[in-house]
Amino acid sequence: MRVFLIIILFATANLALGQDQMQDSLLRLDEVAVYGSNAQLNLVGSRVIVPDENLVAFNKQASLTGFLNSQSSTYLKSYGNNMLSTISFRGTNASQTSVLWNNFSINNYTLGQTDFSTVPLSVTDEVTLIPGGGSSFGGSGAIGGTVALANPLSYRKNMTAEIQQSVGSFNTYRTLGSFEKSTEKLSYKINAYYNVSENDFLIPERNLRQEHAAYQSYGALTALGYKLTDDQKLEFSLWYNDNYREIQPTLSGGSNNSDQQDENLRTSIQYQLQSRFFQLHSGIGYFNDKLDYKDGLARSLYIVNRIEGFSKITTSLAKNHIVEAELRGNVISAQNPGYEQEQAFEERYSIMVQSRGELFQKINYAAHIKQQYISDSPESPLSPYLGLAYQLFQRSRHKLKLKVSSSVNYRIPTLNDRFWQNAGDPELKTERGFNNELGLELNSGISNLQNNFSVTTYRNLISDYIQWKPTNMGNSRPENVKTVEILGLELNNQTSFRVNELKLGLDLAYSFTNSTVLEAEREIEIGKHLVYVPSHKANVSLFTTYKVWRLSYLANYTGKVYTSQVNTEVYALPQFILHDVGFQYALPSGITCGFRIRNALNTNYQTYAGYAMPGRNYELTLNYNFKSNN
Amino acid sequence: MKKQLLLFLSIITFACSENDEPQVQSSGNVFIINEGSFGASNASIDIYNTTDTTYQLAAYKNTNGDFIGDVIQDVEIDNNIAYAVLNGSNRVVSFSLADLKTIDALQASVIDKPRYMTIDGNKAYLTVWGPYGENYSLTDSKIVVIDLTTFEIESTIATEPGVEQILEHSGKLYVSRNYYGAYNNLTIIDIASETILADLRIATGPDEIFVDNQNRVWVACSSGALVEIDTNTDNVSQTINLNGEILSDVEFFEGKVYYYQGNAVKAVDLNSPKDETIIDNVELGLPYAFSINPDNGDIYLGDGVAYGSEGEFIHYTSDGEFVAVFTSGILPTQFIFR
Repeated sequence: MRVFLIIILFATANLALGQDQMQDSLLRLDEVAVYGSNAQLNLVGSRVIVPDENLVAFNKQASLTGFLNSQSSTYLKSYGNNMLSTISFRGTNASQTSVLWNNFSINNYTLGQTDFSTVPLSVTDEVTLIPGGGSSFGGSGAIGGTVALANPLSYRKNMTAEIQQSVGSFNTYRTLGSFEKSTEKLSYKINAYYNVSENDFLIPERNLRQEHAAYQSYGALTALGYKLTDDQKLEFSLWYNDNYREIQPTLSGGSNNSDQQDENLRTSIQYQLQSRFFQLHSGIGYFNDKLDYKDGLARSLYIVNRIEGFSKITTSLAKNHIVEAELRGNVISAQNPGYEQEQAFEERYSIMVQSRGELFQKINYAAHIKQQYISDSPESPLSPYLGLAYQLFQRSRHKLKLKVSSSVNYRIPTLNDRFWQNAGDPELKTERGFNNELGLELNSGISNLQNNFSVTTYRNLISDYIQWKPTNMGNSRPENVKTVEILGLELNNQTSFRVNELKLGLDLAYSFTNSTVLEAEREIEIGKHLVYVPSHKANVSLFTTYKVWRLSYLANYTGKVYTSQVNTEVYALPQFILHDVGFQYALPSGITCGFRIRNALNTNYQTYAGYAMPGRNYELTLNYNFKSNN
Repeated sequence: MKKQLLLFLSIITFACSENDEPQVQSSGNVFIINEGSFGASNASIDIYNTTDTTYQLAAYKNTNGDFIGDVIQDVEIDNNIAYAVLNGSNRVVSFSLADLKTIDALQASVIDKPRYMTIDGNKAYLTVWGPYGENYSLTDSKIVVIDLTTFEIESTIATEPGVEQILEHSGKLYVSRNYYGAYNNLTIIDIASETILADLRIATGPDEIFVDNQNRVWVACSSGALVEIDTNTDNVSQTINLNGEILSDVEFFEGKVYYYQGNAVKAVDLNSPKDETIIDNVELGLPYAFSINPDNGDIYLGDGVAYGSEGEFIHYTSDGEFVAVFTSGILPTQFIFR
C-alpha cells in the first residue's frame, strides 16, 4: 500500500510536469508556503495568529508557558512554577494540540503532548498559533489548534549578535546568546540559552516559601544553510535541550524526593528545489526525546526515537491555482518501562493533496485532503479542509474580510493509549474533530492610527474522545467514550498609533469557550464542562515607546475552571487576574536595560489544582545587540 | 408531616446560613472520607446525616477554607478527635469531630508515604512505606509510634516492606503487607518489646484486619479469603473462602461479615460459613468503600466512579432497600459513624 502511494504521487507529479500549458499558468512559486509560519497561505479560511513582537520580546527569556497564557485562546495548566505545563487550545485537552518545529511534529509521543515549560521562547525565531482544526496542515493532534515554531534562515548579507543576561527573584538567572551570519550563499545561526533558579518563591497569602522546585536548563539551536545553486538550497538544523528540575510538591506538602530530567535532540536536513515548473521540498529529521524521572532510588526512563521524513511537490496546473502533494512518514520506536517488553514500535504515513488559489470574484480558497495510515491500527478518518476568504470591502486603508473554513481533524491515540501493559488498546480508534468556523477581519487605518479587529466563531465537534476508565480488574483502560462539543467566540483588537517619537500599541483579546460533553456513558457528565477549560479568558497588553523608553503592561484574566468531571464547585479553581509591568531603556551603544514586575498585585492563583504559583516577582535584564551589514 | 416540616425547616436554615459553615449535628452523622485525586491536594470530608438525610459536600473545606491535604488514606478516632493519615502530603492531621476544625499536623521525614493507623490508649501506630528503592521496591518500611498526648513521634519499629493496614489487639499489632500484590503477608508485633513475633504468608491480597464478637482476629484478603489468626500461637487457624475476589473493605456486624463481591452485597456467618446475598445488582463503576452502620445495620457504599471524577455515596437499609444516592467528593474511601 505504501509503495503504491509513492508511485501514485510521483506518477501524478511527472504528468503535471509534462504539460506544456504549465509554463503560461505559472504562479510566483516563491510565495509558496515553506515553513509553519506561512500557515496563512495554506489555511486561508482560518485565523492565524502571528503574535505581536513586543509580546514575544517581553517573554523572550522564559518558556513558552507564559507567552501562551498571554493569548486568549490558549490556557496552560502548570504543576507549579516552571513545572510540567500542558495546553488547552480552544477548549480541547493537552494532546489535542499539534506542536511543530520546522515542519516536523515535536509532541512527546508517549503522552502525545508537549510540556511547554521545557520549550524556551528564545530559541525560536518565529512562533505562530493556528487556532482550530487543521490536521491536513498540522497533522495528528491538530484538533484544538497548532503551535508552529520555526527558524527560517535568510540569505542576505548580514550579521547580528545578541547577548542577554537577567537576574530575577528567587535566585533566577537567565542567559541567552545568539549569533547569525549570512551571505547570499551561506547562512548560519545559533541561539543558546542557560537558565537556573532556586525557585523558592513566597506563596501569596501563606507566607511560606516553596520547597523543592529548583530548576536548571540549557540548550542550543543551530542552523546552517547553503545555496547549492540559485534555485536549490540545503538546510541543516539541530536543537538540543536539557532541562532538569526538582518536582514541586503540592501545597499541602508531599515528597521532596523526586526530580526529572528532560533531554531532547531534534535534527533535520531539508532540501528545496525551485524550478520554473515546480517546487520540491523534502526533509528528514531524527528526534530523540528522553524523560528521566526519579523518586528516591526508583527511576522511570522513557525514551522515544523517531525518524520523520516528508516530501512535498508544489506546482501550478492552471492560472491562479497551486497544487501541492505531500507524503510523510514517521517511524517511532519507544522504550518505556510501562510497555509490554518495555518497548513499542509504530509507523505512520500520510498523504496530503491540496489545491489553493483564487476563484471567481477574487475569492481565495484552499482545499486539502489528507489520509493518515498507522501500522496495526484501525483506519484513521479522511481529513479534508476547505477554507475560503473573501474581501467584502476595501477602500483606501479600510478592509473587511470574511473567512470561512470547515475541516475534519484527527488525533492518533498516544503510544501510552495503545501499548501500556495490561491497559493499552492497540485497536483504539483515532479521535475525530469536525471544526467549522466563520470569521470577520476588519483592518482600518487613518493617518497614524492602524486598527485590526477580528471576530471568529466556531463549533468543534469531537467524537471518539479517548478517556482512561477504571475496569473491574482494578486498573484503568483507555476507551473511545465521549462526544464533546465546543462552541466558541474569539474577539481581538489590535491598535497601533504613532506620533513623532511616541509609539503606542494596544492589544485586547477575549475568548468565550463552551466546551461540554454531548455524549458519555454516565448521564451525570452530559452537559458538563470539560475540566481545565476556562469559559472566559481575556488579555490586555499595552506597549508604549517614547524615544529610548518603553513601558509595557500586560493583564491576563482567566475565568473559573472546573477540575472534576461532575463540575462540583468545591473542586473548581477560582478566576484570577495577573498584572505584569515592564520598563525598558535603550542606550545608543546597543545596550538595553529592562526591568519587569510579574504578578504585580501578588495574586494568589493556581492553574493546576494543588500547586502554588509565585506571587510578585522581579527581573532585571541587560541586553547587548550588535548588527552589521558587511 | 411533622418530619417533613422539620426537613423543610432544616433546609431553610441551611440555605440561609451565611457562609456555608457546615453543621455537625450531635448524632446520626456519617463522615465520608474522600481520598481526592493523587497530586491535586483535594482530599475532602463530607457529612451525611441519617436523621434528616442531608448531605454536606466538602464540609471540612467549608470549615477550614482549604482541603485537608493530598490523598487521605485513613482516619482514626480517639475521644472525638480524628487523626487523618495523608499519604500524598506525608503527614497526619488532627481535627475535632465536633466541628471539623483542624487542630494540628504532624510532619517528619520518617513519615514518608504513610498508610494506615491504629490507636491504643494514648498511642498511635502508623504504617509507613518509606522511600522507594530501585524499581519502586520498598526497603525501609516501618511503624511509627506517635504519642497522642504530645502529638510527637516516640519511636519507630522497622518492618518488612509494604506494611499496610494495622490493628492493635491485646498488646499486639497485626499488620497486613501487600504492596500491589508483591507480598501476601501478615506481620505480628509485640508492642511492649517492639519485636516482630511472626510474619505469616497468608492468602493473596491481605488488607483489612478486624476482630469479631468472639474476640477472634481476622484478615480480609482481596482474593476472597477471610483468614483467622490464632492470637496465642500467632499462626493461621482457619481460612474461609468466599469464592472470588471481594472489595477488601469488609464489615463485621452482628455475627456476620458483610462484603461487596461482583455487583452484590453479601454476608457470611463466620461460624457456619455459608454466604447469602443481601442486595443484588449494585453496579459500581469503581468499588471503593463499603460499610455497615453499627446502630441499625444500614449499608453504605462508596463508588469511585472514575479517577478524577466526583464519586457517589449510596445508602441502603439493612434489608437492602435503596434509600439515597449523593454525589460525593473524589474517591470516597471510608465512612465514620458518629
